[in-house]
Amino acid sequence: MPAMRIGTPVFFNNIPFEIEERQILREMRIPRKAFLKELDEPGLAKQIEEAIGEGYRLIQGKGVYRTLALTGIEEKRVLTHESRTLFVGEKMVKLLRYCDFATLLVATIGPDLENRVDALAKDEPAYSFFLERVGAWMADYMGIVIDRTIEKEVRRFGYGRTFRFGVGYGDWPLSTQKEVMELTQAHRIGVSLTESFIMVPRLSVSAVIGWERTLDVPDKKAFQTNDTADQQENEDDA
Amino acid sequence: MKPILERLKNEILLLDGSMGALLQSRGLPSGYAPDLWNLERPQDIQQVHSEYVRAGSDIILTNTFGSSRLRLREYDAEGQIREINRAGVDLARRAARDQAFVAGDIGPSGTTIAPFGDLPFDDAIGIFYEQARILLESGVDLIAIETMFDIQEMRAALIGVREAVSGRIPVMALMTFNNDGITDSGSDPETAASVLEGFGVDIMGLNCSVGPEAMVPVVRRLGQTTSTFIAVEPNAGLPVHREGRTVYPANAEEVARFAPQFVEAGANIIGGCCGTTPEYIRLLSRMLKGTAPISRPSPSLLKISSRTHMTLVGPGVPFLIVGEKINPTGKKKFSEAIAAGQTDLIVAEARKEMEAGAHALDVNVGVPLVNEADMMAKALTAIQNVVQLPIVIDSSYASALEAGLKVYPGRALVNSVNAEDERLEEVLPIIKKYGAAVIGLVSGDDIPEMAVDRLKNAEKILKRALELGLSPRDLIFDTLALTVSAVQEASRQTLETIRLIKRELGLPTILGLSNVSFGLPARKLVHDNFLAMAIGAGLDAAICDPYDAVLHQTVAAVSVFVGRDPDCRIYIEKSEQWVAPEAGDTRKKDAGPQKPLTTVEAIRKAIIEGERESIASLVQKALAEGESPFVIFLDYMTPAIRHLGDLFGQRIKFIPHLIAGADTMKKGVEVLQPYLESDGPVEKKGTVVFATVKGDIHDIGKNICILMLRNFGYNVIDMGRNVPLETILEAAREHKAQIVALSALMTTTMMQMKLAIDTIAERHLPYKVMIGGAVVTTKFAEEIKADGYGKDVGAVVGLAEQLIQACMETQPPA
Repeated sequence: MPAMRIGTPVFFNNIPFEIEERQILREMRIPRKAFLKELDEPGLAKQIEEAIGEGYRLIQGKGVYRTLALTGIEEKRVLTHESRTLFVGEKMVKLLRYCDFATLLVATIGPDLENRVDALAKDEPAYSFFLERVGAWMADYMGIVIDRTIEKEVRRFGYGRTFRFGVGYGDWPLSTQKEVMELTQAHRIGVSLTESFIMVPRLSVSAVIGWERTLDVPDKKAFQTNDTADQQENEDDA
Repeated sequence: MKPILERLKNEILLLDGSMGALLQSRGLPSGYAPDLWNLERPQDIQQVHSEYVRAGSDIILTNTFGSSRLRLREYDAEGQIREINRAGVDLARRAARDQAFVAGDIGPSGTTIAPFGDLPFDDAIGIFYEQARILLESGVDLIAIETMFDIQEMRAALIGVREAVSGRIPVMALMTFNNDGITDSGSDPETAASVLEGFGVDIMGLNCSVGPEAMVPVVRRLGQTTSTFIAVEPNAGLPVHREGRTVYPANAEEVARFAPQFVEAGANIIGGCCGTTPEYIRLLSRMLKGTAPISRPSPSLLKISSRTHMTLVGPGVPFLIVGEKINPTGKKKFSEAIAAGQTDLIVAEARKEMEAGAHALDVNVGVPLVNEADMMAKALTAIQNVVQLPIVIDSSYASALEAGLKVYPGRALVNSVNAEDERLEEVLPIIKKYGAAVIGLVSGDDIPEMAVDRLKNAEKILKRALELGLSPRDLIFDTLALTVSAVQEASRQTLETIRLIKRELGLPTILGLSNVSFGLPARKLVHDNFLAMAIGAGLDAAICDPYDAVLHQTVAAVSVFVGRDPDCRIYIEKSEQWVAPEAGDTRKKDAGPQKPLTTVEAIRKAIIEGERESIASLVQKALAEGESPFVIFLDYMTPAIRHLGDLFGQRIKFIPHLIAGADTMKKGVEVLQPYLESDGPVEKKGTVVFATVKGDIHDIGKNICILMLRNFGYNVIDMGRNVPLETILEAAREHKAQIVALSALMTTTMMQMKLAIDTIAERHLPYKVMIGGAVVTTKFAEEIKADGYGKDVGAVVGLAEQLIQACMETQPPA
C-alpha cells in the first residue's frame, strides 16, 4: 500500500491542461452555448478564441498540497500538531468534525497570463477581460486537478472526502491564508500574499479538503464527492 | 528451481498477498513503517512470508516496499537503508527456502518527479538505483517495482533498476490504475504497455488501488497490446475506514473468484495487494492448479506514446502524419524566440498542428549558439502540458536527445541515427537507456544512390541495435526523400528502399517529405503525389506539413487502397469535412438574396455583433460617403450600444456581448474623435473618478465599467487599484468630479467603501458614490448608504445617468 503523505508538501510543477470552450463560455456567463462556433457573433467568438490560444501559451499550472493530522476540536477551532489558529470558525468545525486529516491545497496558473491581462487593461479592456476569464477558469481547473489527486489519496485509505472549502469563505478568516501559504510552502510554486492576504498571482486558489470517517457521518453516503455542493456552499458563504 | 521466465511460459505463478494487513494483526501501529520491522520484529516478517509460501505463493515480495532512501528519511531511518533492505531479503529467503522466488520489492518514492513534480529526474533514478543495487547484492531472484501511479516515476525507476541489475535478474514493473482504467498521471493501459515494453521489462502489470473487478479489463487491454508476461495484484475491494483502521471489505472467496477471468484476459502471475491474505492465495492455488496461460500474439508494430496515448506505426494501421512545423529553420521569429528561451511560439505551433490533424509532432529547436539540450527539455515540458500527441525528438546532438528523453513521460521517437559508427555508438545507448524508439536514416558517410545499398545501411543499424539489446520494434527507417528536380532517379530508389526494407527486414518506414519538391513550382502538388506513391510502396509514416489539406485527403484516399482503412470508415468520416459548403448548403440559396446593408447600418451591426476589426474601416467609409460624424455617432453608434444594453436586459445578450460591443464602439469613436472635436472639445456628460479600493488588487470589472462609461460620453479618471481613500478624494477634487465610483472583490476590502462614504458625508463633499464588485450586494449598498449600486457592467451607464441627474437637481450648474 502506498504510504500516506502526512506532513510533507507534495508539489506539481507542470500540470497538463486543456482549455475547454464550454467551460470558458460558462465562466463568461454565456448560457446555452458549448462551443464558440455556436455564437452568433463571429467577432466575439474570434476574440475569445484568441484569448484561449494565448492561454495555452501563457499558463503554467502549478500546485501543492499538504495533509495535516487533526488532533482535536475545541470550541470553534480544529487543532493540528502544527497549529491552533489555522482551522478556526464554526464552518471549519462543521466541515472537519468527522475528519482525521485535512489537506491544504494551493494552485495557480502562474504570473504570465495575469501580467498580460494587466498590460492590456488600459488599451484593450475588452480583450483583457476575455483573457482574464480564461485565466480565472484555468486557476479553478488547476485547483480541481490537485483536488482530484487528493481525492484519490483519500479514497485509497478508506476515507471519504469533504467538499473543498476555500480560504476566506464563510467565517474562516482570510487572515489564515498566511498559515496556509507557510504550511504548504506555496512560495515554491510562486504564490505569495499581499498585506491584505490576497494571493499573488490573483489567479490562484487555496482551500482545504477533509478526510472524513464516512461511517461516522450521520445520514451521509459513503465517499460522497460533490463539487456542486462545494461551489454552492462556498457561494452561499460568500 | 527452473528460472522464473521459463516457468511463466507454461504455468500461472502465484505472488503473495498483503503484508501490511498481517502485520497490523500482529500489532503494527497505524502509520508506522512496516519496513522497520525487518530489524525490529524479524520473526513476524518471516512468519508472514512463511504463511504465504505454505499457502502456495510461487513468488514472495520482500518487506522493502518503502525502503528507498527517500521513504526511510520520513522515519529518520535513511542511515539504515542497507541493513533494512538486506534484512528484508534475508527474511524472505529463509521463508522461501527452495519453494518460492524472492522478489526485491520497490515502491514509489513518495513524491512527484520532474518535470511535473519536485524531485529531479536524475535524483529519482539514483534513489531507485541505490535500493535495487542493495536488493541485488542481497540475493533476490527478481526485482518488483510496484504501485506506480505516475508513468514518469516508473520510467525513472526502470532506468535506475536496469542500471543496477544489468540484465542479471528479471524485472517486473506494476502500475496502479484507477477504477476508470487510467493511472493517476493519465496513462491508459496501452500507453503504459508501450512505455514498459520500450524498457524491455520481463513482466508488466498492475496492482493496488482497486478491487479485482476493475482490474480485469485492464489486464485484457494489456494482453491485447503486448506479449510480455502480465502480473496482477488486486486489492480486497475498495477500503473503508473503520475504528481507526483501513479495512478492505472483500473476503478471500470474493477476490479469488476473479482468478479465471484474469487468466482468460492474459495474466501469467496472480497475487494480491492490500487486504488480501494467505487464505486468498490458498484458494488461488487450488483454483489454478494445472492452469496454463493463454497464448498471446507477438506484437509486430512500432509503438510510440505520449503520457496519455499510444500510437501504432506499421502496416494495417492508419498512416502516421508527423507535424514538421516545430523547426526554426528559415523562421526568423521562431529562431529568435528559441534564442531567448521562450516557448510560447512552440506551444502555439504544437496546438495548431494538433488541430490540423497531425498524429505526432517532430520537435527541433536547433538554433546556433543556443544550448539545445536545455531548450529541448524546456520545449518538451511546455508542449506536453498542452498537447497529448507522441513526440519525435529531433536533434543532431546526443545531449539534446537525452535531455528531451528525460523530461518526456512517454515513449518518444528519436530523429535520428544513421549508419555511421560514431553516431550509432552515440545515439543507440541513449535509446536503450530511456526505452525510446529511433528513426534509422539509411545513410552512412554519404547517401547511397541505390536502394540495395541503402538497405545495407539499414541492416547495419539494425544489427548494432540488436547487439545493444534493442528490439526490432524500436526501429523505423527513413529511406531518404531527395530533391526530385536535382536527381530524378533518387526518388525511384527511395520508393524501392521502402519496398526492400519491408520485404527484407519487415520493419516500418518513414520519410521527411518536403525536400522532394524543392526547387519546383506548385510544390505541394509534387510532394502530395510522391506521398501517394510512397504509401503505395508501403510507407508507414511521413514528417510533413500538417496544414496541407490536400495531403490529408491524399493520405485518406490512398489508405483505402493499401489496407489502412477497413471499410473505408476513416475516409468517409473525413470526407464530410471536404465537401465545399456552397455545394452542400442549400439554406443560403433558399433564403433568397439579402438586401445589402448601407455603411451606417453595417456600423450599427458591427457594434451589436462586436465586430471590432471592421469598425474602423466602416466608419472611415461612412465619412468618405459624406455622413456627418455627429450623425454616425448619435444616430447609429449610440442607439446600437443602447440596443445591445436592451438585449442584455432581456437576457438575449450577455456581459461578453456587451463588452465586445462597447469595445467595437470605442474603436469606432477613436476614428470619429478628431472630426467630433474639430470645433472644440465635445462636452462630457459628467466626470467620474473610478478606483478599486485600498487593499484590493482586482480591477477587471472596473476596467470594463470605464470602457462603457467612456463610450457614453463620460470623462472617467481611472485611478487603478489598491488606491488609498485620500488619493481618490484628491483626484475627485482636482477633476471636479460628480461621481466617485468604487470597486471591490473581497469581503475584507469592501469596508473601504463604507469608510469612503462616511468620510465624504463627514466632510460634506459634493460627490455621489456608486459601488460595485463581485461581493457587493444591494443590501450592503443600502447599509453603508451608497448613492448607487451597480450589480454588473450592464447597470453602470444607467446608474451614472441617474446620479448625474441627481447632481444637477441638487447642484444645478451655475
